[in-house]
Amino acid sequence: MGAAQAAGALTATVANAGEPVPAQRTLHRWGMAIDLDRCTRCQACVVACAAENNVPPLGSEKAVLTRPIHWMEILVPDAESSAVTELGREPFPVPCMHCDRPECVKVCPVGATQRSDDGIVSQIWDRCIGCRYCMVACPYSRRYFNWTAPAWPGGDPSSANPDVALRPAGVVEKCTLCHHRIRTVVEHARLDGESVTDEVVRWLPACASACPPHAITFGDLADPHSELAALARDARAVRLLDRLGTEPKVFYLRTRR
Amino acid sequence: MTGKSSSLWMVALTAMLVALVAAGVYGYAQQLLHGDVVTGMRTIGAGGVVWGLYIVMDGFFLGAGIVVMLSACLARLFGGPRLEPVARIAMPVAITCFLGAGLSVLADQGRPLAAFRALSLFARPQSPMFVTFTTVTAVCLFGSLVHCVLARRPDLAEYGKRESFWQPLQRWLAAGYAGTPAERYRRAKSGFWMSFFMVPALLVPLLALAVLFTVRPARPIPWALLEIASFLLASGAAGVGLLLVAAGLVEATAGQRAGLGPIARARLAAALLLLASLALASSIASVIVGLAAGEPAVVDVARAMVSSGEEAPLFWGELACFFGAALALLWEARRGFRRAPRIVAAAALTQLGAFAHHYLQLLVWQTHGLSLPYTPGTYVPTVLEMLVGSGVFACSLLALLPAVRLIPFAPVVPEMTASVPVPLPDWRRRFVTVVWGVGGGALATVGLALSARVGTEPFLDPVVAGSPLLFALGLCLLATTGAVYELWPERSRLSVLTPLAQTEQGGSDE
Repeated sequence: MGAAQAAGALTATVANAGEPVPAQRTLHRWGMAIDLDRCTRCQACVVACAAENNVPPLGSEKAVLTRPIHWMEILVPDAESSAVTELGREPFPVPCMHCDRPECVKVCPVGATQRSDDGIVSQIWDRCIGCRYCMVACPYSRRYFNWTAPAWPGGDPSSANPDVALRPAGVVEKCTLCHHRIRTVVEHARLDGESVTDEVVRWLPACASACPPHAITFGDLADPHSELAALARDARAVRLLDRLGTEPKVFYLRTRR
Repeated sequence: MTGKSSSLWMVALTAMLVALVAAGVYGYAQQLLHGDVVTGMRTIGAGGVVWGLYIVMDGFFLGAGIVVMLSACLARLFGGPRLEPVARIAMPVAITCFLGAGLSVLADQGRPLAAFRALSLFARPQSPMFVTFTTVTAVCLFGSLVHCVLARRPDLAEYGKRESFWQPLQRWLAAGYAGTPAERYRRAKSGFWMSFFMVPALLVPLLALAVLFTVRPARPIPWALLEIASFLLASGAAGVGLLLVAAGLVEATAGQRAGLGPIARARLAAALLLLASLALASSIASVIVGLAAGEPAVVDVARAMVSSGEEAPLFWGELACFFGAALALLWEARRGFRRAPRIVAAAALTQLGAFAHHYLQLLVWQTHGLSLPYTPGTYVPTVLEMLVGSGVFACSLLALLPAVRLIPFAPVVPEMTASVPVPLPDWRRRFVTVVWGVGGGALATVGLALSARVGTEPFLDPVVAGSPLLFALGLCLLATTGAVYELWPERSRLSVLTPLAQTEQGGSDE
């Protein structure tokens, strides 16, 4: 797969080389809100994300303990760390923040990570050289390196989701906001001549659809009438490490307590 | 040291280096086979580091190598014949360092072959890694090689008259050199201008490396600036120290004549005293500013280094090394830097201090300085990782051994003390040189502009795939401009007009 094709497979707005990008498809600005009042920290989102995106179990116990890959993770603030967040010391789910000013994109030496017009920060596995500069630069530490080749139970990856590419050893991977699902919805809407409605995309990513109390809301920040846009305007809404100026598109609704 | 014991010593050293390289190859093969899981690096945020020993080695080698090469250039620019030994010893040492740096980065890549391909085709100038990739290859390594060979052509011409295994290559490298006044004039001139242009070309990757090592989000500007300064100072101390250690080894194996000489040694020792003192001060200042910083992640890093972290002993060790070296050099300064062994010992101490400094600067913030409250971690290189590291070190040194056989450190042609007559202008030579240089510069500019995707969507690939290679090729052409000027065949009979000022003669012979 060529680099441009690989990139096209991972972002919603850039089509194959030469194909003009329809104006309506560039209007989206996908984001997410996580309501910590609703979140029970059950980790259903973590499991659903791993299953949907072919994040493999790493095999040896040592690898699981020290070199995990979690596109979505429940972060339990460590008592020893004095790092402070806008969310206090309670555990909270952390996906990639899909920043509007992503540090990882700035530093990638080969353009293997990109921020597309619809705001998704994607990773082109085929292009990645495994230098890990993006991992060093990401202030949220939301990128993962494949320290070894993925090990599937019984050595058989046939249960993998065919919509998501399997990653080899030596590349960095990250949350794509379930871009393959977004692309399907956007393409269907385009073919039907309809616009993408808030109702259709609200629980689109695997984490959002699996969340039992519906704590995760997905949507289009470019649409001022979307539920996500309303949640982003909520008085409880904060963004992680907002002071850094990375403009993350994942909003947290703080607990009312 | 007698000839027999010297050759025995060389055989033993070579055998040891070959063994280390073999061990490194084994370690790297394991890494390629099983992935980077065989190293001590782990997922960042899960108690590990993603940049470990290899990148520390890269920073150390590259930083020291650039400073060593800068010393050579400055010596040729401003030092005159008395500092010519600095350039003579510095160039091979710098090339060895650049080789070590390149191998270290290669060892770190998750997909080394993909790295070659992708960096050649798609490298982005917006990333600090672009500079370290292209300019290190083109300017540091290639430019230094060209500079080194051109500077030693008179010696090579002499060595080429003696029967040896290297004779054909020596004669080829010195081809056409007859030591005429015109050749000596051109050698002095090309040496001066190559040094002049290499200084900024070396400073750019050094600064990019400092940024790569130190600049992170959520860092207060004063602290970040101090970190950059301390990186540069530690690299400076490492480079000058390495030069003194190398000169000490050269004197021990090839005799005093091949060494620095008292004047150059004293100058370098004085520079090392200054750099080691400043590196010590900047390390201390960096920790104090970090402790007082408002950013919790920065405070955690400073605290871990001073007391709470597993790396604290290393930090105090770094300070002790710099302090010890500065004290020893200060003591020697009173005696005019006459005792070479003490100076070499102090220089070796600064090597340890600088390596520890780079190690701490790169690793502690990964284990203790994350912006989100992840569990603090630790990093211990595995045996395989250390084998690869030693293999890289040994491989670089091993490359130096045949190089010093080919171009021995000991000069045959005495350094120039008298002025060189200026020949009649050779317009054809000047024209070819200018065209060559301008062509190289234009190619580099075009390559840079295309790599930067100027005027295109940032998502898209460069307009011409491979433009980073064009940029590097342009720099390589620029680096060979001096060689074109010097080696372009004689067309006209030259006559002497006026003497050249001694400051311009740099490395000319008499």
